[in-house]
This record gives sequence, C-alpha cells and structure tokens, in this order.
Amino acid sequence: MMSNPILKVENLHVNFNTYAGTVQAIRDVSFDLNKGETLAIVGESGSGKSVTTKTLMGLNAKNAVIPENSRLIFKDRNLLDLKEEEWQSVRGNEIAMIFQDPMTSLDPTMKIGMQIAEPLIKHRHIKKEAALTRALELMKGVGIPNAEEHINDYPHQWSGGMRQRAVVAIALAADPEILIADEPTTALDVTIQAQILTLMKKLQQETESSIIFITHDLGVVAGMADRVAVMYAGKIVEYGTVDEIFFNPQHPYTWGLLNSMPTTDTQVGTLEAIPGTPPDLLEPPKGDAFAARNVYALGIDSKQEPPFFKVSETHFAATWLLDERAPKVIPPVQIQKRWAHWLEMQGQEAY
Amino acid sequence: MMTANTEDFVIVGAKNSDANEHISKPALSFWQDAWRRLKLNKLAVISMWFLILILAFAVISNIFVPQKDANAFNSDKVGVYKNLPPNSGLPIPGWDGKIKAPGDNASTDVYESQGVPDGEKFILGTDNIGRSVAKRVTVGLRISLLVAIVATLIDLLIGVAYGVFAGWKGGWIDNTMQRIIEILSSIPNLIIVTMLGLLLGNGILSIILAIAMTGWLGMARQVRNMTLSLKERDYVLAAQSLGESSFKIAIKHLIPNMAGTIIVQVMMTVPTAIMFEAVLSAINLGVKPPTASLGSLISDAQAMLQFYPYQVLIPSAILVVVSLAFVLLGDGLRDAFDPRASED
Amino acid sequence: MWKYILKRLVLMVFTLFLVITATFFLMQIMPGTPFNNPKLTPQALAQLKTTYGLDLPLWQQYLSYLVGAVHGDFGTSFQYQNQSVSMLIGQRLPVSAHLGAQALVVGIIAGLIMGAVSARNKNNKIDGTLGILSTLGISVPSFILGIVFVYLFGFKWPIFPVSGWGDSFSQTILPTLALAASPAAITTRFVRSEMIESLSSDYVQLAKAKGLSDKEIVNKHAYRNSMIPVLTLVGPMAAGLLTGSTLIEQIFSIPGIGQQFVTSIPSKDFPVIMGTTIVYAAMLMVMILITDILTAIIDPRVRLQ
Repeated sequence: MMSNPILKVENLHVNFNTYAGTVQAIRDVSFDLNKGETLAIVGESGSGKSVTTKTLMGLNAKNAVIPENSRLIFKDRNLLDLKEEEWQSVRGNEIAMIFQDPMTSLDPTMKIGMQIAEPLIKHRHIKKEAALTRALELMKGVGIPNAEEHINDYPHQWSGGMRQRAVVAIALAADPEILIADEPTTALDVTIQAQILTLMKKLQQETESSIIFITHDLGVVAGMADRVAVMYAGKIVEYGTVDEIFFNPQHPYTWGLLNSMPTTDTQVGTLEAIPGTPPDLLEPPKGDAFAARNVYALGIDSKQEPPFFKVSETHFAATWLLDERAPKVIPPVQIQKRWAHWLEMQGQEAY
Repeated sequence: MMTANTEDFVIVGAKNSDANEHISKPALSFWQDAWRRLKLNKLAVISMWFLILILAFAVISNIFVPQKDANAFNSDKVGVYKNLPPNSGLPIPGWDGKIKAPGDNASTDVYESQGVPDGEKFILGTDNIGRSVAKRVTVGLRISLLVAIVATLIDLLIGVAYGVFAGWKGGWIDNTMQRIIEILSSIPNLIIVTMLGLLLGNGILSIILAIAMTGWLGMARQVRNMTLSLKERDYVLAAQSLGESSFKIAIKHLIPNMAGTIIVQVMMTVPTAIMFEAVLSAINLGVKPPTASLGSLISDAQAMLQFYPYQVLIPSAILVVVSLAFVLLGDGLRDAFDPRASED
Repeated sequence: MWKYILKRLVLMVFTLFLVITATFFLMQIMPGTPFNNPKLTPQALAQLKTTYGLDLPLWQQYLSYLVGAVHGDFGTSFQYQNQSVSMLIGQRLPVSAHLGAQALVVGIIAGLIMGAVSARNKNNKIDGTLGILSTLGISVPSFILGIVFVYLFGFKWPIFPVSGWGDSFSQTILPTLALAASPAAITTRFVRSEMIESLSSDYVQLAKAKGLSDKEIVNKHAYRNSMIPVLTLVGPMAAGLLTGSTLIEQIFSIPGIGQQFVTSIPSKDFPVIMGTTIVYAAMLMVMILITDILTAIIDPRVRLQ
C-alpha cells in the first residue's frame, strides 16, 4: 500500500477574502494519495473538505488566496504553479471530478452522449464521431441500459440515478489517474447510492485510478475507502487506515462522528450528536479548534494547538489526549466497544 | 516546543454552547440586510432621494403653483408672450432667451423682438399661448405622478387580492382565475386602455382606471406564484392548524413574506403607468385641456418640435428622468431583497 | 405536442370571440357617433343607418358582425365612406408588420450581443456602460425616443428622413431604432442575468472540471442556455411594440394601421377601431403561440403538456 504517492499535498492553506474579513478555509493540510487507493476525507459541512477538492481541481473562486509555501505535487510538478491553460490539460484528463448533484450538473440543453464525449474531444483530440463511439462504450460501462437508444437523450429524460451514472462516465472519459468524488451519492436515494458506490469500486479496479472520496457520511466510507482523513475546521485531525479510524479512533471528534452514525449493533437511544457547531473560520479559535465542543477538552487545548501524535505507522491523530502527560480518559461506550473489537482484530485480549 | 505545565493536562470539558454559537458576522434582520445592500448601490440611493424630493415637490407645489395659475393666459397679449424660449437670466447659450430659427445664422433675442417688458423672464420659456412652461410642467408632473401612483396602488390592491386568493384557494378556482389572466394578457394593453379611455371619457379618474385595468395582471401572477410556495411553509401550516382564519394568515404571514417582491413590482409598474398616461394623451384620450400632464404637454407641443424644441424636450426629459429613477430604485431593491446577490 | 397546439388554438379562438363580443358591445354604449351631427336631416340619418345596418335589432347586428369577422369582414368605415375596414387594414398592415418585424429583429439581435458581452464583462466598465444603456432603454418610452431622434437627426443634423415610408430604406432607420430600443434593452438585461446564472451553475462547473476553456464553456454551454429563454420574451415585447408603433407611426408619418387607429379615435370611427382591435389581438396571440411552439422545439427542457 505504501508505494510512492501519486499526489502529495503539503502545507495547504486556502484563505478567502470576503467583505467581513479573511476566512481561513484550509489551515495547513497535508496528505498523500497512493496509486490505486481510495482516500476518504470526512467532515461536517464547513470543515474545508469541499474547498480541498476545488483546490485540487484549480476551481476555487476568484477571492481565494493560497500562500506560496502550499504545495500540491502531482507528477513532479506543483499544481499550484500552473497557469490556467495548463490547468485545463490537467482537469478532466489527469484529475477528474464526480459532482454531487446529478440534477443540476448536466447541461440541460446538450445531448448526454455529447456531454460524455466532450472531455475526449478536448483531451484526446479525436473527431466527434469517434468520441461519441467511445461515449457509447462508457455509457455501457457505467451500466446504462440500451445505451444506443439513449445517447441522444437530454438530461431531463433521465432519472437521478441514471444521470449520476452519466456524471461518472464524464469523469472517467479521459482515463484520469485521480478521481475526486465530491459527495457523489448525497443527492440520491439509498438504494441508488449503493449502486453508484458499487459501480465506482468496480470501475476503480478496472482502471487502477486513485479516488479521493469526499463525504460527511462515515457510513459510506466503510465499504469504499482504504484510508480515511477526518477534517475539522480546515484541518485534518486524524488519519489512518479505514480499520484504524473505525475501530481504534483516538480523536474525540472522530469519536463524535462515529457515535452519530447508526450501525447494526447500535442500541436504541445511543445515537449521539456532537453538541454545538463548527467554529467560524473568520476568527479561528486559538489552540485546538474542537476544544469548545469537546467534553474531553484539556486546559492546554485552548492555549496550544496539538501536534500529530503517532498511533501507528499509518495512523496519526492531533489531540493532546495522546500526550504522555494527559490523563487517561474513558471514551463513550460505543467507542469502548470499537476498541475492544480492535483488540480482538489484533489477536489480543481485551482488558 | 512543550512549554505547557502539567496543570494544563486537566480535563476542562466543553464550553457552554452559547459561546459555541458565536458568529463573527453581525446578525441582521431581513430588512436591515436589504437596507445594507441597497446602500451599497449608489444609483439606487440617489434615485430614492431624488424620488422623495420630486414627490415632496409635487405635493408642496400645490401651494405656489395652483392649477389655475398654470392654465391662465392673457388673451390680449398672446403675441407678446407666446413661444418665448427658456431664459435663465444668465448668458448661458441656449438658456438666455435667444433662439436661432432654422435657416438663420444669428440668434435673435425673442424677449426683445416680441416686446416683453424688461425684467420679465421665463426660466423654461412659454408655450404657444404665452403660458409659463415651468408652471405647466410643474402641474403636468403633478398630474402624471398622481395618475401613475394611484393607478399603481389600484393595481397593487387588485393584484395582491387576486393573486393571494387564487394561490390560497388552489384547485379549480386557481385554474379558472389563471385562465382569466391568460386571456386578458393575450389582449394588447393598448387596446384595453383605448377601449376604457373611449368608454370613460377624458377625466383624470377614467385615465387612472384605464391604466389600472392593465397593470394588475403582472402583480397578480407574481403574488399567486409566491402564495403557492409560501402556503406550504411550516409557519403557515402551523397557523392553519391553530385555526387562524385564511384572511388573517394572508395578512400576517403571506403578504409580509412577499413584501420584497411586491415592492419591486410596484417600482416597475409606476414608469409603465406614466408611459401609458402619455400614450393616452398622444391618442387624444388624455387629460382634458387646459389641464396639463407630462403626456399632454409632449403631444401638444410635438407639432412645433422643429421651431420650439424646448416645449417638447423639457416635459420629455422630466418624464424620462422620473421613470429612470423608479427603474433604478426598483433594480436596486430587487438586488437588495435577493439574498443571492449578497456574495458580490 | 399537437394536442397542446390544438388546446392553445381553441383557447385563442375563444379569446378572440370574447374580444369581438366585448368590443362590439362596448361600441354600442360608447358615447357619440359621427351621426350625431345636428345638420343631418332625419331622412339622411335614416339613410345612413340603413347603409351601416344600424336599424336592425342589436342581436342581428351582433350576429352579422360576428359572421363577418370570421370571414375577415369588419364592416365599412364611418370616416372614409364606402371603404371597407378590411381593405383599409389590408393596405396598411404590411407597412406596420414590416416596421414591427424589423424593429423586433434588430432589437433582439442587439440585445443578445449586448447581454452576452455584458455578462462576460460582469462588473467592469463595459458591463456598467451597457447597464446604463439598457436601463435607459427600458425607461425611455419609444415615442419620446422617436421625438428626440426627429429633433436630432431630422432637424439639428439632418442625416435621415423623418417622415414617410416605402420610398427608401433610410426612411425606416429612425423609426426602427426608436422601436427597437426597448426590446434591445429588455433582451440585454434578460440575457445578462441568465448568462450570469448559467456561468455560476453546476453544469458550467462540471464543464470546467472537464478541462474546457472559458471560451469553450461560453460557446458550448452558457450561450445556448441563456439565449433560448429569450424566446419567451417575444410575446410581451411584441405587445409593447404594438403600443409603441401606433405613436411612432404618427410621429414619422408612416401609413400603418397604428396611425389609422390613432386618427380613428377622435373621429369615433368605430368600425375601424373594432377591426384594428381584433387584428391586433389576433396578431399578438398568434405571435405568442408561435414563440411558445418554437421554444418547445428548440429548448429540450420545455415539454408542452
């Protein structure tokens, strides 16, 4: 798994200048993405996960400011140095994106086949006919029945699930190395969600592309991701393999997210919401941004920002609770059960 | 790096949730927020003050320029006072009482040649029977604004009542009422205005009615659409389940929540009404002479455009500037009420 | 689709029937007819009434008018005796239609271009200038623009002829421009806002994510999405043109039906007023129907129910 990464994000900061002041949407985010893996970025709305994806696509709004020490290394170059024309040869070609809402993401006045063919015409420089032939294959590949009959349809003639398949086909058209999926199933029915996720997994195995999967829903992460990064208030607070995050979580925010997620063995009445709302990133709080909502907050949390503490070779968490001076806290019951399960997985006895 | 003391490693827990909910942006109500955005639009603010001044002027001018004054002329001295060009008393070219007739090389001082007594001057000139254009225009503006504003208020009443009723009742009532609007709006406004103008005669009231009969369609359509969406809102459903009467719900919940849209629509209706008043005057269905409106002043003087352009251009300019101010303010209000515009 | 068109046609015929009926009975209660002339002898008056069929019972007059209207016969003019209304309208309609169509085409094309330019230059000087121009365009009634044009380009700097029709193309320039200003302004504002909305839409974001350039996005996605809805404006703009053209024809001495309509009002030439009214209403309704059908054909989003 730990082969050389295809994408390295280093010290990413993104600020937005607004009339009320500067919003610090991304505050020092670093992560790697390996070839063929799926990295899930999980967080509440406003945690900066969508800004991260937009930055990776070079699609931030004009008022975004990215400091010079931020780096996005992809194929030996820093994407943040690219000019707009150079970005255009990356977007949809080497890095592609699956959008959230299939009802509004397709151009209502253009035939779907043509919309799928567009990236091919742009990046592969092939004729319209050839591109449409390939678009037809893609439509079959994403499971659109009787694709031949529907290649000249307009989006309004299709259901949401079918449209999202078309959006997936558009993203896959030019065989991108990295696929960014921004909440690709949020707008869909549960049954359709599962179909789209299965489809993405299958296509990933066929094409060996890497996926960055953005979601607020830990539930869909379990079956999809190899690794998970949890974001809060513009920072990554914990990252590790999917098993480490699900069964050995260390950050109280991750505990909160897991606790607010229903599982098959959830007892009635144990589903808990995290109290409060994320901080306003116009004036990010001093120290640990989560401290104000954290029932396990330490005195130091409001004074100094926690560094990443190493849990394992692949698992890091930014919480003072992992400092050797910190008292041993007892996590919520649900988390204790997960920890117990983790120990079983490690072949050890629970204490 | 580690400068912390051991006492920092004590659990203090979450802060109370009030501190959590702190939002750095100042909280503004809908109207305050709209006002803040409107103030950013300089043209709209200028238009608003301009309109306030114009309306105040129209009301106050009743005292110092009564209608009789503006209509009166001395039939013995028409030859002396007729068609005098605007004279500011200052040597401003084109505004000094001199006029260059077409074909002439030098301009002549009309005040001198017609034998107007020294010291007497008309700041906006006189018309073809020697009445002061300034006074005529003051009265004309008054009448035009009166016609337009009253017609718009009638539109407002009919349109809101019709729209709320249709939208609230829904079903076949809404359907029928929609068909009626559809039929009426496929008949050109000009025809409806002309027919009513013919039927009701030349009084100010009949002009107001004729104009009001066409303007309410747009208002009714918008209000009906908004009612349809508002009546599904929780607070309306709650009021309903509490047994509030439909009339009370309309007054307390529906209309206040569409006030923004209604205000914008009103701002856009006034210039249309001003324009239709002028159209009626031009097709001989306007105010009865000697009463003046901006429209009647324009159409009466139009034949003399080549020789006395000021008699046409002055009321035209006033009509345009007033309409423009309403449109600019309407645009500004539309942007101010539209939260999507706040990102700019 | 056909069912929808049929439904619309039925509604149209019904509306026209209402218009004819309403105008007929309105005219009956209108104060004053040209026959109020006290100099007319009772015999002459009776003679006139027989000629115009006014001695028949009202329901018979109404029926014969209705039957006539269906056949395009709107009776005989009071003003120009022995001239049938349909002939008067027939002579003048082509002139008005020519002027109206020319103004509409010029206005819409100018509006499409200015709106697109404005949106692409959002919030800079070009956008600001076009914004002022289009706001002026909707605030200045066409007849005032016509008067100003006559004054400026007819008298002050006599570049264009300011009266008449049919002798030269240059005669059509000023009235066309005066009439086109308002449709151009309406279209500009509409296209601008549609295009700005389109450029911030999800499908444009997706097009960007495909790697398309700004130019490709505007040409392939934004234009089509923001220009098709302009068709829905054609109906209301045509109605506005009807109003404007009556006065413009008056100002520029153009022998169209508008001018005739205006002169028939003070002379209470009811047959002409009625005939013109019906023709106007029919023209507007056909216009709206055609643009609705066109919209449905061109815009895949619109389905006729």
